[in-house]
Amino acid sequence: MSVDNELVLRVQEGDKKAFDVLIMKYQQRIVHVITGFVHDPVEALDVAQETFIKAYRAIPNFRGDSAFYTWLYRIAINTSKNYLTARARRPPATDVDAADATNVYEAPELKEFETPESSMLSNELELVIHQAIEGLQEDTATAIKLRELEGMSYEEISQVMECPIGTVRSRIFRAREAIDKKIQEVMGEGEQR
Amino acid sequence: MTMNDSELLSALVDGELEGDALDQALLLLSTDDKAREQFQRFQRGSDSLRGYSIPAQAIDLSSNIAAEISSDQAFDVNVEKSKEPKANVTFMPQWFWQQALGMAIAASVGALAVVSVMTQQPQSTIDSIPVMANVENTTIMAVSHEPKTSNRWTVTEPEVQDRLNTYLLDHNEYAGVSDVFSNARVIAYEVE
Repeated sequence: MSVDNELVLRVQEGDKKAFDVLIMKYQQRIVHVITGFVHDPVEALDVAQETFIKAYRAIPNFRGDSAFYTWLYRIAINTSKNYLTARARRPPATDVDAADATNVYEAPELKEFETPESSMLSNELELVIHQAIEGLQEDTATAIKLRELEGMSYEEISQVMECPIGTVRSRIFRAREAIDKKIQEVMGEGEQR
Repeated sequence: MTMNDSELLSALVDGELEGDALDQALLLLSTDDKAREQFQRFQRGSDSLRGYSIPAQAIDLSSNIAAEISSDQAFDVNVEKSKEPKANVTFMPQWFWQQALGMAIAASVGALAVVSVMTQQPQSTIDSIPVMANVENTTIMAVSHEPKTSNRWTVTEPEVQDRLNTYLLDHNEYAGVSDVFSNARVIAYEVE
């Protein structure tokens, strides 16, 4: 059973803290997806909040036929469209597939809605992150690339890199720490601007 | 927060925890604010690597949502399961079951009658076959009109007779009441 399904099961059994983890895990993506419909960042946060509340109330009906994120994504899209309809605004003509939404590189429609500021910060972050990865030891860089860019599981990475799963976990953690440090630096500068 | 805890949070971002390790990570997140911050930073890094744009300020919807859903009752999977739709059973009206029961009784009694006739007439069938007799130049069709055995039931014991009478009376009355006369055969027995 995936961690998401395990967390959903715990929520269904009455553990609200498990839902808190799901929020922390997906809020970034959901806000990003909603921003594609609702251009105002503050409104997007409101719609994202409504999305999660709807998801929480509907979670007893979630049967795991699809991935939790796909289900959540659909709720986000419907909530955004309803929000725009209520505001008598036209929802975008083009829709983004849930599978594409997991990777923005494959969903250029979402890029169109970025503001110049967020786009600049995004580009800067992207550059800094890739520089951070290039600065890592080769094994660490390979592990994080296989995980984040290729979407491999720890087991698959351990087979590719011919090392134990524990080592994969440590390498990915070290890479994350380095990336996090760089992001903090950029975001700190961004807040000062 | 130890290095091991941080590594645990990194593995949670990747969805690579289960069992006790997952319990440990969830406990950490619910009790340690620094752990929450670090988990969200790791998640943000992962999201940005996958191409999601990161706003200038970190997003944290969890506290607002927690406040919103605090008044909601916690789910209980047992309660929810009891609300699941059961098998799609269509309840038929009473008249339907009355007619169906009448027809079933009629059919069973009819079948019983046929079986009894078949068991009581093994020899008579041969005798009742038309026989062609050739008498000089005249062809005469001789047909046996009288079977040697009756197809009616004979009951000798009074107690059995009473029970059978009651049964047949009930059956015939039921067939009449439930409008299945057209389908049901009115059964009778008597000593000829």
